[in-house]
Amino acid sequence: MQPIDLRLFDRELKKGSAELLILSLVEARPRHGYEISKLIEQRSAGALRFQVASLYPLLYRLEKRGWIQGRWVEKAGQRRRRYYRLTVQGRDVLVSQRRGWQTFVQAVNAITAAQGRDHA
Amino acid sequence: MPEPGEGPPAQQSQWKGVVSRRLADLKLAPAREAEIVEEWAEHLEDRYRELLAGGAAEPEAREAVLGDLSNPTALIQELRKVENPITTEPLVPGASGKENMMADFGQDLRYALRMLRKNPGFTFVAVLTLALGIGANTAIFSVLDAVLLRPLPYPEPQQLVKLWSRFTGIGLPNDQNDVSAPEFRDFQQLNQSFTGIAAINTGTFNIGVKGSPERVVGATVSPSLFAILGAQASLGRTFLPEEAQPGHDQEVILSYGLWRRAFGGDPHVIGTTLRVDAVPYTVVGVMPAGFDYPQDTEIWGPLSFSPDDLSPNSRGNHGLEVLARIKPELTLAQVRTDMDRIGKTIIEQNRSNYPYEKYGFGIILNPLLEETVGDVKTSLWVLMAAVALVLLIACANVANLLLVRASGRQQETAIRVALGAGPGRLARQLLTESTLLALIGGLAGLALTPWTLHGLVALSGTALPRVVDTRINLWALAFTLAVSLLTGILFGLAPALQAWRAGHYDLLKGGRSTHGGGSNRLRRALVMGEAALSLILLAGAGLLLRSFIQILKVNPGFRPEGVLTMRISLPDATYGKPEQIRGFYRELLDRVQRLPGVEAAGAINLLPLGGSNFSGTATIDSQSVPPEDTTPEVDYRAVTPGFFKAMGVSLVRGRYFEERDSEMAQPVTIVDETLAQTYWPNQDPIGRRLHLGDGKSTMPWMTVIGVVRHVRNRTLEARSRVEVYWPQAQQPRGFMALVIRTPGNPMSLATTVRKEVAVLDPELPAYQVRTMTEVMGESVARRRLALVLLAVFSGLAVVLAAVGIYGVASYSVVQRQQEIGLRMALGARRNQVLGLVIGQGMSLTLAGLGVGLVAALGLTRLMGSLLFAVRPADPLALGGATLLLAAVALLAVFIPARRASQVDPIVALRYE
Repeated sequence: MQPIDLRLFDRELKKGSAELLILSLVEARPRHGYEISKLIEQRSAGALRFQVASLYPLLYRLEKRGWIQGRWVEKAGQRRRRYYRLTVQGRDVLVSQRRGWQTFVQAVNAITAAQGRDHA
Repeated sequence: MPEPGEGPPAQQSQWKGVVSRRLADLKLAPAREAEIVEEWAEHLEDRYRELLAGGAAEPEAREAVLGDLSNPTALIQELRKVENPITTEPLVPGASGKENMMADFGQDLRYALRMLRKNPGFTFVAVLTLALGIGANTAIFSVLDAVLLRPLPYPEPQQLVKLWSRFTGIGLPNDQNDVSAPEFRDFQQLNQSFTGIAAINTGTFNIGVKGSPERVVGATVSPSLFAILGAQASLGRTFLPEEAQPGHDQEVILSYGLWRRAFGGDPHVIGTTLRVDAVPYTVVGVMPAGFDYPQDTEIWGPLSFSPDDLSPNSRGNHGLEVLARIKPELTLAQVRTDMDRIGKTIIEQNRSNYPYEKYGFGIILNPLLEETVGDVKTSLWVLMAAVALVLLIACANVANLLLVRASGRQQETAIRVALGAGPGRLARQLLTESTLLALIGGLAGLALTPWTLHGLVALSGTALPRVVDTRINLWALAFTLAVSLLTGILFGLAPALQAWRAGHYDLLKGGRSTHGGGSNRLRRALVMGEAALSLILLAGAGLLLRSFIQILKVNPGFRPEGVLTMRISLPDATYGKPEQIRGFYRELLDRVQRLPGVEAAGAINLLPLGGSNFSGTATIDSQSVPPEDTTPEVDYRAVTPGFFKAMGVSLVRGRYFEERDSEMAQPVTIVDETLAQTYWPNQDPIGRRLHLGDGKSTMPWMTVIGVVRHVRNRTLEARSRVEVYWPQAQQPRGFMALVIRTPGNPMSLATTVRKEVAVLDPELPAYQVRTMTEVMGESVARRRLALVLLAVFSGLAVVLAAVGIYGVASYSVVQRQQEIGLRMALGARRNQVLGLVIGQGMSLTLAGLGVGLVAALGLTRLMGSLLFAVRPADPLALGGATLLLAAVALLAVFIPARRASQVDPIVALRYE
């Protein structure tokens, strides 16, 4: 599958969906940047893919807002990596963003479904 | 740095290089950049391995990975939104950005507080040093502000001026004389400059308050005075113009204080009668609490002039103070031109009446503020400069302490630099610390200020005008705050600059640096500066001290020890006739004379150095000077027979007054030696004649029966005019000062003498009971105040400088412990080590003293007007100050030197 149009995706980023993706991914446990990008790619079946240049600035921005917190972790036999975990504040944001997104998706679905019926 | 990963050849270093180049344009802080580089390199490495694992060839995989970074512009744009360039480096990795300025500041503040708490000794010394410096500055500034800077409490104070008549060559300070009634009338009629002009005649009056007599300071004033000052009565009214007519002047106005004290603040006081000097007056008004002109006045009466007062004969009767308000549109220069014109007119109009021309008559005009504070301006600015120097020294000391501490914190600095704190960030942290320290010092200083201020006001007594108005006001508070902040920046700058430089070095060397060289130089410079500044202060104090000693050495012409004085004022109403006055004083002195412990008793109308003076023209029968010089301005005094003996004024020729020089005998006089030598040189003055008033006066001739030593009537600093005394019995004055000599403590006589006064007249107060030594002391009070303050400040400076010198010497001993140990192990004797350390410390101090000496030579010249019989470059004062400082420095250096010489070489070397 081809990655979706990047410019479109950038706009999506600005709308906050990318933020939502990242916050959701670190909700269960802390993850490092590569793991996050990998998960996005896998779970979207390759439809979404973050590049270094878009992923990390976003992570830093979220960190600066205090929604996630990065920490260097060294595990035996592994390389040093920076793990991001969801902060308490981030959890609140995630809950409200998730709700907003669902409302948005339902609304979009409702509209697109209705249009489909009209055409049918 | 991370350990090498497992598996295939790691490419991280290559990734790092690539990322690093991509990020270069962002100019991130080194630590932050390193972090991003590492994180991204990890990411790329993961992706690379994944691609390899997926079967890609290495070059292929590498290309794919690098493709992720192919759009550097977008990358930089994205990052720039969240990351800050190097100017605001984060202290903590990850925390960054402009919004972090406040967070950084909070962090710095918490950190600074922790550091201060961790070193209580350092903090205590630093805060105390600063508190002393800042507290002294605030106190002196408060006084300066109250005395010099705060405008007078009247509307448009810059329009208020005082007028004086100018008589050159008669020995008046600045040739400035009071104004006579005819002159005042001339000013009034001839001027084109004033919206109002008022004459004031001050005096003291007896008032009957609730049965107990009281003496109050009062003034008779032109009714216009109140309008000129913009003052209104808080109760009743001020004077009406017609109340300045003789016969209509039976009204008084009370001060707020007197009204409260004497009338219990009775609102119905207006219209009641008050006996002033036993004459009934009607109270017409009460002034508001703050009104105090002339100073300390408690009762005002209207000033009226009789035709006699205004006659040409009274032109020489100079006793009025004149205040005027100039028209708003005029400048001082314009008004002065107008005054010159009036002066010329007066000379013209009175050619036949009064020798104006001979004395170069003119009108002197001074702004009121200048008048009020003029004399003390120099002293106060000198003191302000002195406390500023003290503060500078305190700053230098604290900077020194901080520098020493900074070198103890090298390790900490190195760690912080390694963690990414840039030099700017470090400097900011240090400045936060020093400013916090200064603010705490300022607060402590402010806490000290009420006491210092209280002490200052108490110390100054009446030596400073308006000083009672002194309080810590908002300006002083703002001043303290500003001084504290400035101080913090000033003394924080040195360590901060050093940290800045050191930061770079450490970064380059990547290890513990020895930036001892620069910091030692700076510390030495600071100590030299302290020594120099202290010397300036000490030299100034030395000069004042020398002046003061010179003044105390001045022979005033009398022997003040063992003399008690007190004032008595007989009211005209009950002692209207000359024989009543004569009788009273004769009887009183007779009784006092017989008291046990009294050696001699007399009276004089105005005490020497008592602050008030009386002078007038006298005509001297002399052929030795040109005729136009035979009418000098003389100081004249009425005395009783016992006065000269009681005051200890020695007789040069002839005899003192005796009881036989009574009203029945022929008029006689005693003159001072200067008059005798000037007008009858090489002749016997006994039997010569003089009379009061000018050549045309009809005053009776008085025959000289004695010559006494010259008495310094006005000030200890200068000779007075020639002096003429006459027996009180021949021209009685109700207003006299008793002068009583005793071999014992003069004050112990006060009660018994007062009892004698009460026996004769229970209604009569005896007031201003002082010893003659006190009277003299008060005449030099201002000088003593300046001396005491400057001595305190320079003492403070010397202590601070000693602490600074000690600190640097101690520090250098600690630093060179190994070297000293080595020297001793190689055979150096303890004395040599002692000499080494002392020599080093002293060379520093001596260099500072050299600089200070040169500066002192320049600066003490500004004190010229405060000195007496001492040149600003007085070798004794300057040399003494230098020696004293050198001795103190020697002591400060000796202690650490001794410690150094007792170092055990084994212990010292083992440190290695």
